[in-house]
Amino acid sequence: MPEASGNAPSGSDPTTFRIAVANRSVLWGGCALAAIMVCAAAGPFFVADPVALNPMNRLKPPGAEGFFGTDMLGRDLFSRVLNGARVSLTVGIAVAALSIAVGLVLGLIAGYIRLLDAVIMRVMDGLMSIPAILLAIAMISLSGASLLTVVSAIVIPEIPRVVRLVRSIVLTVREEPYVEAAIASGTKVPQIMYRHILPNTIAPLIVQATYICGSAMLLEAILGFLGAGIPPEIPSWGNIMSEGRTYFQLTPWIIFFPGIALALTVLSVNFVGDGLRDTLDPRIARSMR
Amino acid sequence: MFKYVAMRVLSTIPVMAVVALFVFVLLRLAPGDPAAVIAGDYATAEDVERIRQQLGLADSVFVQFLRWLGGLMQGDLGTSIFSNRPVTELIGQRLEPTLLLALTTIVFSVAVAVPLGTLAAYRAGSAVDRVVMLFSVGGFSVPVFVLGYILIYTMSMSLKILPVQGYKSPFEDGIGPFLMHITLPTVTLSVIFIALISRMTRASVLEVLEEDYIRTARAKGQSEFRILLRHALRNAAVPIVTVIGIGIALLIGGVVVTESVYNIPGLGRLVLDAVLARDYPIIQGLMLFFSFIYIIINLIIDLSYTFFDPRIRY
Repeated sequence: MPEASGNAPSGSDPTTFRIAVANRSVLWGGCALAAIMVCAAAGPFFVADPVALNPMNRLKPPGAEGFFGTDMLGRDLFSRVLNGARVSLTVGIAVAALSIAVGLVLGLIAGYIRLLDAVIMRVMDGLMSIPAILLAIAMISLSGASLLTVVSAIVIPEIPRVVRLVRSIVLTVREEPYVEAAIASGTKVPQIMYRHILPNTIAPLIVQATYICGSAMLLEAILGFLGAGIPPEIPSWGNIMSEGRTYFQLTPWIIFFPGIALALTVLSVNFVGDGLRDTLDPRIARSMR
Repeated sequence: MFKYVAMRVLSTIPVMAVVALFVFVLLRLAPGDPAAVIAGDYATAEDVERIRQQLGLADSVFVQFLRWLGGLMQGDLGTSIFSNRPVTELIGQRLEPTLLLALTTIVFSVAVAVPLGTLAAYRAGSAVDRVVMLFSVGGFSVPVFVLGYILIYTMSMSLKILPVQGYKSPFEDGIGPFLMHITLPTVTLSVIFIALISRMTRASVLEVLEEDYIRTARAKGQSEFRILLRHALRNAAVPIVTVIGIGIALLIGGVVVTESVYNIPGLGRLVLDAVLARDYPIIQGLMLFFSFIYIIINLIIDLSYTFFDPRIRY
């Protein structure tokens, strides 16, 4: 609701405040994210080879050799961090897209077919009770680390949350008078799903996708840090930090630079998510007000 | 009441069955011969054969599953491939640091997050609220281990207030050294938990504050502190307690990472050592163990709703 006069005491109308902040956080988060994406896409063309060894210049401090210094093999840290952004963003976006796609289908089925509902939801409860990190570590350690296995290992623990969300929306929307009217007038199930149910899932799913994207990037970095992530040939923020652990007391920046890059990226994604939630999903926005 | 409790307890059985089935199938779904995968790249044919015998992979899948399930029923989580000792024994040896770290984290997070979230709700829209919400978004965005290293760098390396790494048992080394060593890991692990709980506390207290009985309490001249504590927080307790339960999964994941950063010899380290050694029975056993803990804690929380909100009756 727009505020008509400017002389209202600040903080008296939380709604106005919240919507303003919502738009601002989408704006700031979106700008930051766009900047990071441009750097990830174009940056690697302008910097040194991220895997070029230079044994003469090992563990150099920032500024001496390249912006961020060098790692224990003399590789340019700035270039590695830039290249690592590609991995993080790829994993984040791929995981969000895949888990939303799978979760949407399963959620629609669970919400619409009573017989399969119980089965699907018990499986989802089971999956949810296995800690995501442990599940991912187990899957990767069995099938070998690659970009594909890392993505699928992160997708699986994310699916149950999407299924629950979609199912709850289906169950609510099914009771709406316009859906009952559509059923009464003989509309076929696929038509009802497409015309009435699906549009109601879009806004919450977009919000959910941003959160999944952020947490997937964090999980990917954690896996890399623990040594169970993307193989070391491809620089990722996780494995750069993992390699920097041994030298932390000597050269803490090897962990701090990729760490800060990761935190900033996830922060901008979460800002976009929070802002979208407040503007797109009035139901949740009201309860969060 | 009794009927509900019985139903709720029974409902955990299919969930646990799904977890057991999933953990079992995971090993079989892996591409290639699981025995060869576990043995690693440099294994000899004898090694692979030994592991196959040890895991009972020679029998049919169905027989394997029944045997494994039978073992689980008797509390047998399998045997480590390398140390050849029962997984339950290995878990028992590493339980203390993990359990204590989880406990200190929950106590510390709740002690910080609930007042913080309540304050943010009470002063909704103010600078305090914005700072708390900003901290909450930030807490979700900074990876646990980066935070750990920042704390080690500032507190241990620069200021030299706290020890860098390691663990001291309160039972063997005394409470003092234990607290010195557990402080940084607890703070590290708490940040994401505080973000989660303070956010939920803020949301649910904010909702309760609009209720009529709050206005009534104000009208009869009750102090604001008592209104927040007795009326608002008590009525907002159920969602807060629920989110703590959901956060247990987050906590378990965080423990693995935190123990790795601070060199704490707990269950998290057991997982990582098992991954490096490809000791799959340990990973399997720990997945089951942690899922079991998660399910039990959430069962207890579900059943405790009547305690926090007497209006809920079964």
